[in-house]
Amino acid sequence: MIKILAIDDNNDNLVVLYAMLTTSIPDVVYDSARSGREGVDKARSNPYDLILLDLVMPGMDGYETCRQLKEDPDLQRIPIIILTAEKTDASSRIKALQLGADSFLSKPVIEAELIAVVTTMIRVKQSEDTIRREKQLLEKTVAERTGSLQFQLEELKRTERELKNSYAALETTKLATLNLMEDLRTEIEQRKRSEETLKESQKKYMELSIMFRSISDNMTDMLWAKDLEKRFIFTNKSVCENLLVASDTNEPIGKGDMFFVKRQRELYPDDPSWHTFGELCIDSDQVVMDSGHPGQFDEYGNIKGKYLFLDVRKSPLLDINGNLIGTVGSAQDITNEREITKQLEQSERQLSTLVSNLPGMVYRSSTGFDDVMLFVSDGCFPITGYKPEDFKTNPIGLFNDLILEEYRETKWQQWKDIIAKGEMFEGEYPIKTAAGEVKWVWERCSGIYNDSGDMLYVEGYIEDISDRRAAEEGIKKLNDELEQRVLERTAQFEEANKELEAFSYSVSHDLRAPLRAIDGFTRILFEDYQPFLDSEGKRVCAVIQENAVRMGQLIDDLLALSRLNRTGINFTGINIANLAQSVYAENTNDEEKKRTIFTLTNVHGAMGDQVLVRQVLVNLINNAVKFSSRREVSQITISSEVHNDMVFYCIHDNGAGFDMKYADKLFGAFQRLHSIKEFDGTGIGLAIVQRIIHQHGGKVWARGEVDKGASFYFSLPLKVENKQ
Amino acid sequence: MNPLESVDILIVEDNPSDAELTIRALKKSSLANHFFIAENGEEALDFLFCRGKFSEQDRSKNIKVVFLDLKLPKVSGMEVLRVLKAHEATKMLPVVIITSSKEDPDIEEAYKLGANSYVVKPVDFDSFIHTISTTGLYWLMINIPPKVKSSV
Repeated sequence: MIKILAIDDNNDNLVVLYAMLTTSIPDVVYDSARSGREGVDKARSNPYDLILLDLVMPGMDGYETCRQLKEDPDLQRIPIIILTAEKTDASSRIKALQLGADSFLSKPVIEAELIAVVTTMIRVKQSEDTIRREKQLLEKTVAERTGSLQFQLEELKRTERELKNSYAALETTKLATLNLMEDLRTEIEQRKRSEETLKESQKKYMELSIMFRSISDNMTDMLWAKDLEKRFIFTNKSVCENLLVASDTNEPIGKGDMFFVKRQRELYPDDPSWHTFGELCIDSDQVVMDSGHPGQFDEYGNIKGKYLFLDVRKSPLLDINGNLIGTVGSAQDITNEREITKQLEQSERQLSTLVSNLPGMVYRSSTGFDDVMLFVSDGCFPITGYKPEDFKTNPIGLFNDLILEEYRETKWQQWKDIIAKGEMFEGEYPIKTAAGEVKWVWERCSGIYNDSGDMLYVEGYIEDISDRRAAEEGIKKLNDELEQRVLERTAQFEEANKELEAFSYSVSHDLRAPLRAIDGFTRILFEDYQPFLDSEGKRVCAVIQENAVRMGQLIDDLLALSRLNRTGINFTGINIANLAQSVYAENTNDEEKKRTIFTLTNVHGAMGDQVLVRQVLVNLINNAVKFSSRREVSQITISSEVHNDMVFYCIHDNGAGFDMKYADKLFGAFQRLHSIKEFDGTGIGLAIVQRIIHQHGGKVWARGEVDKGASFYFSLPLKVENKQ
Repeated sequence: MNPLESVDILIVEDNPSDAELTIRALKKSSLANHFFIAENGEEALDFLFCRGKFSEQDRSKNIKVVFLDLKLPKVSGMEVLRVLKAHEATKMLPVVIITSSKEDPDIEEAYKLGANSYVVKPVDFDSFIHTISTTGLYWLMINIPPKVKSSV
């Protein structure tokens, strides 16, 4: 059956085609479509073997229809024969062929041509279909064969895996066998080695025995071992020589102590002190065997007439199963140490007696602040009310009880810090005695060191200083009171000084004014009322004036004196000779200079306040000039000498002098030894001199004789250190 | 007393004896014509600043110098000095301290406050006369005062 689709808009053409095809091709099934669109739709829903296609159609033309059919993968194998009348030119044929058309037939269709082309096309299509089918069959067969081969491959692989497993199991078995063989070989080697080791051990044992013997015999300590019957099974050289007196180290083996004791005693039967060792000692071997524990024993007595003291250590001897088979022992000769200890104890007893005679307590404590009081003298009882034993049992606790709480921490800290630094602690603190009494004590202590500088212990001395404290406190209280009184007094003085200053200010100002008035108005009286005054009236005026002026001078001098207290001293180096010369020149008139011999001999310089020292010289030189004014020739000499950092000056005149019995009055304020008539003056000058010299740390004094002149001495410092 | 208009020395002095002696000294030097005596500091300031009882006075006073005692009732001499030297109109007016005090602190303070001179009144009459007349002569005859109106 061949299915053919004809697509043409002209029904006549379709009928013609139908007629041609059905007559010439017997098993044809003919179908038709009147447009391109219908043709494409029909081709998609029916399996045609061939399509006849008109080229010129309204709507979708033959080209487009051909293109659509050939683009569809399900339809593209259907051969298309283009039927066309008009477009038979080459270009339209090429276009149709390019779109996939398989052949051309020109209209009007010649039946024979149509049938030939259709038959050919169908044959081509059928053979193509056959080839395709065969190819599909072949592909299916190949796929089936491949599946079968795959299965066989899997089978093969599985077999290979099983084979591999079997091989691995075989390998394991082989390894195990090899190991077994290796073990066997190792065991054989070990056995060989054991035999060698055994030989080696035997050799070592021999060597060790020799070494042990050498060591034992080289020791000064005694060594031995005994069996259960207390017979020696080992002795070293020292025990044989020094205790047993045996001939060699083999002799005691199998023998007991008594064998040797007897032999020694029998040597000197008449000398009971030849061998007494062990007579008073217990059977220490038995003690150790009974107890099963090591023990320490003091054993002593005479050996060959000489006292021996042994520090003996014994221990049970066990076999490898732990059964007691005897004892081992060692002994150290401590005869000498015992002797030294005894002597030390004796010396300590003597020291203790010495220490107990001290007024305070002496102690020695361990260094670690760890509660160990090694020694406390009996002196502790009178001070603390506690006995030495009390301190030994609980020293820190007891010291804590003793020291008053508020001092405790600081005292301990100080004590520890100072002792740790290796210095000496010295301090005072209050304690409370067993009876509750508070006492002050003084302590001094320091560390005691060995040769390598390690502190062995702390030693100290504590003394009751309550009485001394009380006395000191009394003095301190007294001092405080005194100081307070001094402060009060100073304040009073300062107050008084201030009042004095205020007073002198008033004096300086207020006392002058009335004086000036007295003087002035007397003068006015004298001048304006001269005609009314007789000679006596005039004299009285003169007296009033004279006194007013003197009082003015007095006030000035008094002020100068009081001012001295207020001014500080400004020390500088002063050339006294120059200063004296200028003072003399300035304070004397020509007439005075004419009859005066003013001499300076060996006048040193000194330290002092320029202004104040000048005042001293002014006063003293003026005095000298004044009191020598009655002489025909005044002689004034200034000289000096240096003694112990002070310069001593002397101003000598040949004037009126004075009686030495009034010498102490010379330097008092307002003290005068002469009448105004004799010599003018206020009596202040020397007081000022004295005050200035004293302020300089110097001294002033005078020597004189009536009518034989006077010498005034004063001293000034040669140098001043940090003064002012 | 002279008319206030022609005053050229203001003497501030509370002690009448001293005042009288001062006048006598000035008279001896023929300088006694032109002065006014204030008896205390307050009066001196009133006079100079035309206050109180002097408020009606002519202000054309031509004072050349003030002689000022330190110890005065009411307003002290130092205070008068301080006020005069602090006031624009009077700070150039020459002020001579004439006092009995020789105390160093007084001298120092007076100069600090701007005193132009410090003179101590001697007790001795001859010295007193000499001192006052010399001082008066110097300030009135020799010294050239500043060219400003010395009063308010």
